[in-house]
Amino acid sequence: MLPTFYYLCLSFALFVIGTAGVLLRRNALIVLMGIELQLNAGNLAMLPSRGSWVTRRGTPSRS
Amino acid sequence: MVFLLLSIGIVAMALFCMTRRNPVTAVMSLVATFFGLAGIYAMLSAHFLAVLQVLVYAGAIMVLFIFVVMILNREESTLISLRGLPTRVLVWRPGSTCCWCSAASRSPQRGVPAPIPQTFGTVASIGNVLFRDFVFPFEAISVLLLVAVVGGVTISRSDRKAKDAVDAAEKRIAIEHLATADYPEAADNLDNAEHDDGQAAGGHH
Repeated sequence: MLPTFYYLCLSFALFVIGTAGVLLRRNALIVLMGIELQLNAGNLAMLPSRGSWVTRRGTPSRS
Repeated sequence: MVFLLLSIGIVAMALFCMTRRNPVTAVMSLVATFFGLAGIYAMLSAHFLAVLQVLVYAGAIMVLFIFVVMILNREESTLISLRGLPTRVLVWRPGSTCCWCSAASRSPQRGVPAPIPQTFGTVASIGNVLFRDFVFPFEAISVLLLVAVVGGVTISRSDRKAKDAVDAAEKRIAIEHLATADYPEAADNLDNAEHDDGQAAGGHH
């Protein structure tokens, strides 16, 4: 698997694009799309870190 | 290599989405962005999350956006505007940046993630985590969303009522102005009548 750093770079790029859309556009719909891009960037930043989360907490499921 | 292709596509589609003037084009490129993100999630062996990304984002939220475009159907006159930028920076920047940084700070900056168990990302494991370990936050979020829906409906309805009241009051004032312009004596009588009514009401009490 790729290092987490690459995923964080992609997530940061998405976040910056979404922030620029929120700050610079006047159309309310495009502003909402920028917010959606920011939310997806947050998801993408959180997902590759589940390896450390799993080792800290144990297995995520009890089944 | 797949990651490189997907990320280039995602960033290009996101830029395309944010720079289009036509809202429908922007929505379609946002759909492409979400499909690329679903591919990234599938690469991270989170298949259930990838399926949910396609279903919820590329399905439901895009339908919502398309409906809004169809109802409003307004195109922007200026593509990029700097008006009101300081307010937006003050309102949006700290909160959203803190959100992203808190998400990114959970990640180790370098190194390969630890090996994950075989059941990670399956529907069964996600269901166990969601409905056994974190059932209280899950239900709390559902109650919070219900409160948000009720609050949104209440705010929109009370806003409309207030606007109707203001319109009615403006119309009444305009009619009174017309009446006083036409019949000054009637206006005097009207004032006297109101005064008498007030006195009479006070007398009754």
